[in-house]
This record gives sequence, structure tokens and C-alpha cells, in this order.
Amino acid sequence: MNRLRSLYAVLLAAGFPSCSSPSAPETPPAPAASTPAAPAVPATPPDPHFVEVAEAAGLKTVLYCGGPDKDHILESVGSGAAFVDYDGDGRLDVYLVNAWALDEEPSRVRLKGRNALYRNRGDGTFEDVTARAGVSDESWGCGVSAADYDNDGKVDLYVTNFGPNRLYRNRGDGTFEQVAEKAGVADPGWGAGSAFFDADGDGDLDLYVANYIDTNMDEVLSARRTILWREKVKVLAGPFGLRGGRDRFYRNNGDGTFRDATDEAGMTDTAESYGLGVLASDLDDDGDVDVYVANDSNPNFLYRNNGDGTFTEVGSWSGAGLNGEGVAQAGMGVDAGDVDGDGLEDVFVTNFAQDTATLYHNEGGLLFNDVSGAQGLKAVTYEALKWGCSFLDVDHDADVDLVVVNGHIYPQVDQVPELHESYRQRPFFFRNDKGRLTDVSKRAGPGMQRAVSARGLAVGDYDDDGDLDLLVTAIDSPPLLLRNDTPRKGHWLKLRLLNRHGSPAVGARAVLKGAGKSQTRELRSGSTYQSQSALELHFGLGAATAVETLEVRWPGGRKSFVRDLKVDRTVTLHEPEAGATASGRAPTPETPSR
Amino acid sequence: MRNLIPAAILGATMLGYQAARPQAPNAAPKTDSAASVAASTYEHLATAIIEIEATEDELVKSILIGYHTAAQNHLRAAARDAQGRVGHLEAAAAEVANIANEGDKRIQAIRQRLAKAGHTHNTDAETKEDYMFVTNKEKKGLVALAARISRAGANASAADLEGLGAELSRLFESAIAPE
Repeated sequence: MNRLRSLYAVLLAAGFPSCSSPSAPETPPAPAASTPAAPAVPATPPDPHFVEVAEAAGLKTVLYCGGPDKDHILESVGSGAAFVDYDGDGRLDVYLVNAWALDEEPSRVRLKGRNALYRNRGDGTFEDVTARAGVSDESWGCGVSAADYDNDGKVDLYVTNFGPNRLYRNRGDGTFEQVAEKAGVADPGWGAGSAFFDADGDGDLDLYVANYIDTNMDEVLSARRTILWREKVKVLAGPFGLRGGRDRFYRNNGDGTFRDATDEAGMTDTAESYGLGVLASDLDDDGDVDVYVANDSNPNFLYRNNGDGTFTEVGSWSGAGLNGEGVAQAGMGVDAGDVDGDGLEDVFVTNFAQDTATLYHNEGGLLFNDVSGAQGLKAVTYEALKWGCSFLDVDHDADVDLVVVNGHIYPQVDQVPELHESYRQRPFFFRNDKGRLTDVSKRAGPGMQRAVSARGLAVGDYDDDGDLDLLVTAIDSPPLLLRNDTPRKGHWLKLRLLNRHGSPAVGARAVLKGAGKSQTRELRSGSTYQSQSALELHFGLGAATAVETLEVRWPGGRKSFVRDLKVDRTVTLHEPEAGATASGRAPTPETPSR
Repeated sequence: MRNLIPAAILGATMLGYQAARPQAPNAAPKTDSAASVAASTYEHLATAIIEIEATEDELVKSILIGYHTAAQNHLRAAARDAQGRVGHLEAAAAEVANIANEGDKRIQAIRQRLAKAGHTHNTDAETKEDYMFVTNKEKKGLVALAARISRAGANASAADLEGLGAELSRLFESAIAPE
């Protein structure tokens, strides 16, 4: 693998009141210390190539989830993972959420799995720093999201559990303090996806938590398989017939604590839907963050931000609550990306087996149209049971491709060959060919041929070579680390957008123009399935050897505008201070990345 | 509904007790009197259960009529009120979606509780297809209509809105008509 050492160009970008001030002075980026050799751009895109390297990289923690037979639905949902730079050294570390192992006869807890934090050594390997960092926890873990909730410049972790959730405040010295109870976010339900976002534009991050099912450990241990799957084999029951958990919205008080503001914000989960995936994104591009929730076996929610910190649920008529057939699907994971380059984020939702994944084309104004059939996704995705998903530009051709990880929840399907299903499944890789998603999974390298019962997916450039790698969790297995070894074609740019507190500016939106193409990215906490991707933005640039313009809209509405950025490097941009927007500020000297 | 069930059980038990009581005093008990009382009680309970299910039908139908009325009112208001048109259209679309889903989010939660207790709101308990009134096919038509209403926009004409209202009436009458 051609390992390129990326460089930072640390910029204090000039901010302007709006883009309608073209005569205002622009602040050019600092020159790069060196420019990596520009790769040749082939006429046809190369096939993606992923290689599985978790064991060699030192990621060995087995992620448990119940007993071998999966008698209760809790044993089927798995746990997530995060790519997160917890120590601020510029390298992506790995956090793994773990659940418990159960015995079957008699049904009892065999082992309480512990969450794990791995520090990136910078040489492609990781060291287990869980004990030192104080983030192990032996709850039955489910998901994780990351952001700096207390504006101290350090990224914190929120872990959803079957039982009280945990909030790990990053002390900045390599250790964390568990403060969920003190902060008021120790939700006792069965938490799944979660996401931090600034709901009310007050400069601090609020929190949405999807809760799945209302049950308890006695029911888990006494569960028996009673449902006949496809008239062949007895499998676990649910979620249909079980009581859904109510999602929660916590408003940040600005003092390190939150309050449950679910009802006052208009986010009361009266349907008691089976919430799993959470996407916090400005889907109507009106400057505030909307929330999309993928619900299992219920209509999905789309909460429109009213601009004042309250929300209106519009999923039922927006076109994104049901599929194009008017059917509520079994939603699992969710992500958003601009598939067709029209500047609006389309929404992708993964669903259960024997049903298709759904791509909702964003038509503006929070109106969506199910284009799964037109995209050819139906036939490809129908049989698999789909979970984590993410849009990303794997091949640097200046559009977003799509990765989906799969795995059944019923191990019993392996006993019945005529079902043509398997518990362990391969992931999907869809290459974006001029707005059309083409299934090239079988040509995407040996890493993409690994069949596991996958659940979580996080995306990030852990080896700092400029392309995006994949972290995948699987049931009763160590994670997979799928290193992206795709032959280098187009150029790339990574953006680290830091707010005034020095932490990732969750909610910031960047629009980049180069070689006649415009691309949009948004910095998000949450998304995918119970997992957290790197809190930085990655652009493939194709043949563009420079970024003509980069516009960043920061949370709160300030804008930065940068021209003629060099490529094939990591650039850090800081949110302009209040009052510094009219004249801009001189850039600080470029600093090396390490 | 939750409150009606224990009341119905109590009522049926009382009726059974009343039916059995004249046999009790003075006369020697017949050998089958206990079984007879049990059967009588169960019969009354069965009557109550059947009537409760019929009541459920009527209740759901009245809920749907409420959504339909609200949707039509919003469409008419949208025609009158140019400034609030988009809001009324969104509200109308939400009501139509409630018809399509045979209930709003609160009703959906109730349905899940009923399902847990073994009582499904769906016509086909196995496949979970078709609600009590709205079939899957009708649902698709109503969802598509909700989308059209939400997209009608601020410039929708009175004739456009009248047309949407007429289509809603047609779909609604078809949905609640006896199969």
C-alpha cells in the first residue's frame, strides 16, 4: 500500500458574513510543506480493494451478544464501534462496544463483555488502553456516539446500553470520567442509536437517543424461540408483539448537564416505535439540524427542526417514513449522502432480510422519493439482513459510494439449506457511477468477501494515507478492520473542522468545488448503525489538482470561504471568532500532522 | 379498550351468576349445575368478547372518519388562506397519512400492545397484512395522495385543492366500505 504521510495545512479561514460579499478579502491557505506526487487518473474507475487486517492491527476483542441460539431479540442486535481521536494526536483510535455472553441450558449469564478502547500507535497497529482510560464498563452495551458535549475541546463518548447508558467525559489526559447520572443522560431503557447535535443553535450539543424495546433480563433469560421463520425453523420472537421503548431527547443545559426535553421539543415517541438508527442532518438545508430515526417494523420518523429548538414529525407524509409501496419496513441503520450531486443529502436506510434497503432521494423541502427500484437496489439487497451503512468516496472519483454490512439474526437459517440464507453474510459495496449505484461487492477485494454476522460500521482513515477504511463489528467475533487498498486514482482532501472550543464542529457543512464539480459533506455524530465514524470530512477529488473554493457553514450560521486549496492533504479549519468575520484573519503557519 | 375488557369480564361474570342463582336455594343441587353455570358464564363472556370486537370496529371507523373530516377541513382552509396554505396542506397530508396507517402514532402504540396480548389489528395476523379497514392496496393509494397534497405548494389553485379533496373522499369511502 502506498502509504502517504498526510500534511496539515492549519488554516484560520477567513469568515464572511455571507457569500454575497465577493469583494471581501479572502485568506488563502498556507502553502503545504510538500505536495505528494499527483496520481494519474484512469479513464475507468478501479475496483475498490479492501483487506482485512484487524488481528494484525491488534484489534482482538471478541464482541459477545447472548447465547449461540439467540432465543431473545436482545441477543440479535449486536453492538457498535467508533473511530475517534480521543487523545487529540490526529490519529483515529478505536472504541468497541461489547455485550454479554449467555449460556443456553440453563439460560444464564456466562460472561460480561467489556468495552474496549484501542489507541492508534501510528504504525497501523493499536494498543489496548481500556483499563488506563477507564471506559471498559460491563453493561450489556449496544451503541456509541461521540462529540464534545461540554465544549472543553475534547471528544466525549456516549454509550447506549441495555440498561443505564454511559457518558464518558474525556479528561484530556488519556482518561475518562463516567458522568451519565450526573449529566442526566443515564437513560435506563434499551438504548440503540444516538446522536449529538445542536438542536437549538445555542452552541452546545443536545442528544437524541433511540430506544428499541421495553423488556428486562428475566424475559431475556426465559425467552424461547416461538416464531416459525419462512415456515421452516423456529426462531426468536419480535419485535412485533413486544412493547417499544420510547426515544429520548436531551437538551444540553450548557453546564455539563442535560434535561429530558423530549415532550417540550415535540419529539414524544407516542408510537413507542422500535427505534434503532439515528441520523442528525440538515436535510432541508435551511441551517438547522433535522432528525431521522430508522424504526424497526414501524414507520420511520423525520423530525423537522422548526428553527427554535422544537420539532415537527413529518415522516408520515414526507415520503421518507414508508417505502414507495407505502409499507413500514424494518429499519436498522441510516446514513445520508448526496448520491446524485444535486447538493441535497439523500437518505439510505437498511432493512430486514427478505426486504430491500431503501434509498430516499431528497427532492428538497423535506420531501423524499423512494428510488431504490430505479437504482437497482431491490434485487441486490433483498435477501440480506442489512445493518450499518455509510456513504463515502472510496475511489476518490468525486462522488459518494455506499457500503452496507450484513448478517442474519437467526443462526437457525444455517440449518435449512432450502432457505438460501446464511447467518454470516458478506457486505455490499456500491460504486457510484454517475449517480447510479453499481454493485461491485464481489470485486471489492478479499476483505469484502469475509462473511460474518455484521452489525456496526464506522468509517475513517485510520492509517492516515488519505483514503477511507472500514471498522465493522460482528456478533460473537472480533471486529473487522477493512483497510482500503484501492489503487490510488483521484486526489483527495480531508477536513478537520474545529469549532471555537477546538473540538469537532458537529453540524458543520462544507461545500467544495473543483474540476467543475460541487460536493457537499456534513460533520455528524451518530448515523450508520449504533456506531460513530470519524469526526472529519473526506472528499475524493478525481482529477482536480486544486480545490477551487471551499465554503464551510458552521453551526450557528457563520461561514468561511477558502479558495485554491492544495490537495492530497489534511487541512484543519477553525471556526472564526465572533466579530472576526468581516475582515478575516491571517492564517497560522502550516504545521506537520504529527 | 383496556378499561372495557375488565368491565366486560366482570359484567359477564355477574350475568352468569344471576343466571345460576335461582337454582341455588332450597333445592338439592343438580349434578351438572356447576358445569352449567360455568358454560353460561362463558357464553356471556363470549358475547361480550364478540361485542367488544364489533365495538373495536366501530371505534376505529369513527377514528378514521375523524381524520378524514380533519383532512377535508384543512384542504378547504388551504383554499381560503393563501398565507397559511402550506401549513394546512401539511396538516391535511398528515391526516391522510393517519388514515393510510389506520391510526396516528398513539394508535400504533396501542396496536403493539394489543399484539403483545395476542390480539392483532391486522386482518391477516400471520403476514400482518391489511388493517381492519384499509387494505395494503388502499394504503398505498392514500400514502401517494398524502405525498401529492404535501407537494401541492403555496401556489396550488382552489380547483387543484378541490380535486385533491374529491380524490380523498373517493379513496376514503372505498376504504371504509364493507368488503
